[in-house]
Amino acid sequence: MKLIDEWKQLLSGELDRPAWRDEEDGREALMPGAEESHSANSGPVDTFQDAPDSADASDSSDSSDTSGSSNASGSSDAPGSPEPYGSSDSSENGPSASSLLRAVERCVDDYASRSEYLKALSILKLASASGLPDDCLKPVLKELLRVQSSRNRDGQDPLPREFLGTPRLHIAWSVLTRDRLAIVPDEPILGSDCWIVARGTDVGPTATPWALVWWGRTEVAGKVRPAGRRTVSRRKLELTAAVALLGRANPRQGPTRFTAQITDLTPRGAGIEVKDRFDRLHGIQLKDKKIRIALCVPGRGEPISTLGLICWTEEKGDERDIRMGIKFVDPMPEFMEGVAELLSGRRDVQYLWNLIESNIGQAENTGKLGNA
Amino acid sequence: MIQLPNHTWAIAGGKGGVGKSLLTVSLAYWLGRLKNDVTLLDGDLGGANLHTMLGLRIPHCTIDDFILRRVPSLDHLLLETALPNVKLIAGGSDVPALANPNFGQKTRLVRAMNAIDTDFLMVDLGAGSSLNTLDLFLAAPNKLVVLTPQPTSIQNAYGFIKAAFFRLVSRGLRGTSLQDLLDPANLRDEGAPQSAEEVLQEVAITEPGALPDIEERVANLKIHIIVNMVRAPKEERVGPVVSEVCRRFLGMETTLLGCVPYDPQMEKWAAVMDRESFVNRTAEGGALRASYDIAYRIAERTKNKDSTATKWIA
Ligand SMILES: Nc1ncnc2c1ncn2[C@@H]1O[C@H](COP(=O)(O)OP(=O)(O)OP(=O)(O)O)[C@@H](O)[C@H]1O
Ligand SMILES: [Mg+2]
Repeated sequence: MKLIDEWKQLLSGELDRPAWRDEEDGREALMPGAEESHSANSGPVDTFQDAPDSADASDSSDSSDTSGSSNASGSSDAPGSPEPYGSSDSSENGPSASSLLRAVERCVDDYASRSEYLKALSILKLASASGLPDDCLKPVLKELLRVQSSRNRDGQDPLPREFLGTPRLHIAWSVLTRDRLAIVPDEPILGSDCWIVARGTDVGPTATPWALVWWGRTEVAGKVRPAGRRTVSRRKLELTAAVALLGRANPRQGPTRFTAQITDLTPRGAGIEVKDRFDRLHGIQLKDKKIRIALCVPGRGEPISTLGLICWTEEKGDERDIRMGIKFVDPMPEFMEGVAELLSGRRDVQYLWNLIESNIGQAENTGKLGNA
Repeated sequence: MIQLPNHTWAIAGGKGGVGKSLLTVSLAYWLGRLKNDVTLLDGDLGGANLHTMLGLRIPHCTIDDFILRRVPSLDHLLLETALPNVKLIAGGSDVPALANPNFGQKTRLVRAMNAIDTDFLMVDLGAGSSLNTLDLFLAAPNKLVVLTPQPTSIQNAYGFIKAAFFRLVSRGLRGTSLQDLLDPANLRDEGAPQSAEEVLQEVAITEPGALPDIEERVANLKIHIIVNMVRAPKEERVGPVVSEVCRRFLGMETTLLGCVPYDPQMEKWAAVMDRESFVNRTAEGGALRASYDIAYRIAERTKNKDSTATKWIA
């Protein structure tokens, strides 16, 4: 099934995208919707708007796979309309739709079995955008939402229920279809509500690195969705922090600054990971060093920051990755508020505890945090 | 569910032993002193003890008599107390099954409460968030939640408010496809909504038609907060803390009605509870004095509510 194969190529980063440079608008065309994605107050979010595969599908498939590609190109004709796909009459393309559905199911299962949930969800999203009826796809999502994990999931995709912010099918489906998926140039600053699903490099002369990005920014009923993008999972790049070491290694230099990925976050501290490509941190005794750490909370203009202490460090592999455990030192209430926002799950209870702690400061109860 | 009259105040707290009953008695005392007829109703249907605080060891009639239809109206149950202008309808605890009245019994009770001729009806509710407690609480136009600065009490108070919120929303969902959404039996399911936000999302997506009604219900849910047993000024902040969380996560405004200090005299008296000495023994302490201010506010608010039914001051 051609369409599915292309999706798989896309998700494995193997897809070459010569069509990019053919686009008139150049860059803009590469990141449809990206502009709005970052503007603060853009009102209700449209359904999947980009259908990044669609251009490909129509360009590269020689119309041999009629149902798939015609639907896919249809989708780019009607971007942003509320229900552009699901309801198309399927009497003509019934048989191929059902075989497509089976292929989708298999593909989703396949990714899910490898815990590659973002890819599994992306397949669903692509399938929905290319016209497979919601009713057929929802049961597949339902299965995905069931997935719970007790294993250590370090470095893996967030669970579908975490990522979509809810275990409930209706909401999850709505989030899935309203979020955006787009192919953008792979640049360091993508924003903290971006999740990189796949990365690849365009085989053209400029060898542009690209990323398939999922913008988890859907708001429903005027509210930001609960966990979803705010879940600080252990996936890279969804949340970066700016860190400055206090005290100077060399009195003539300014403070050492670096950016780090947040790999773990609690109201007490954070686990961060730094790529020390230029060995700037080499030779510095990092443990017990005081730092200032700043993070961006989606939806807030100003980053939040606090003093912190590096409690432990660990060199990772032979690359120059350094992991650190940071403890927040005397965080201000605003900082704690921001952190509470970033944390998933029972945000209200978490938030309540944080407020109790910062206002009344009953340290003896801190053990109850989270499971309260 | 029918509403209780405008002069009804329901006092709840989520956690046991936070001082709901003592506070109810103190407030009733002051409202009585302010020349109002006050009726106390022990709404702790499982563990009534208000009568003990008012010096009545074994009340000769209790609310059970009404529920079992031994008396036709609640007026027959009014007991004199040692406090001027304060009467009591004692709670029963001898028939355990009545701790959990059915819908018909509850409706009849609420109707009868409407019929009591009094200036203030104060309903002291039991601890916990049982459906009966929630329903009585929601039926009262004036709602009071008592908490102490203890973190567990703060959390239980918030939990109670949230449970009331869920209960209210679930009533708005009756007859819709989401009517089981907040069924307590289902709330433990893995897919059950965990926050008000999720509930509203689901309503917005699945039953958008029901949303305006639910939003209106939520907007009308006004809860007053009293912080009891405050031992240090910073502990007064728990009121605003709970308000903030309610505003943010339940989209609901709460009003801080006042703080009552921890008062050793109150505690001492509570250990004995001899009939005549409630006022004498606790008059010197800060708790009774602080409850005067609160009683005064309650009187003001009730008056305002009575005259301009919908207008609410502050
Ligand atoms: N302001 C106060 N200062 C000191 N102690 C107090 C104060 N208020 C209440 N207490 C203490 O708390 C105890 C419990 O009070 P009370 O019985 O009124 O609580 P309650 O919330 O009604 O409990 P229950 O949930 O069991 O009905 C009292 O016995 C008293 O010792
Ligand atoms: Mg009591």
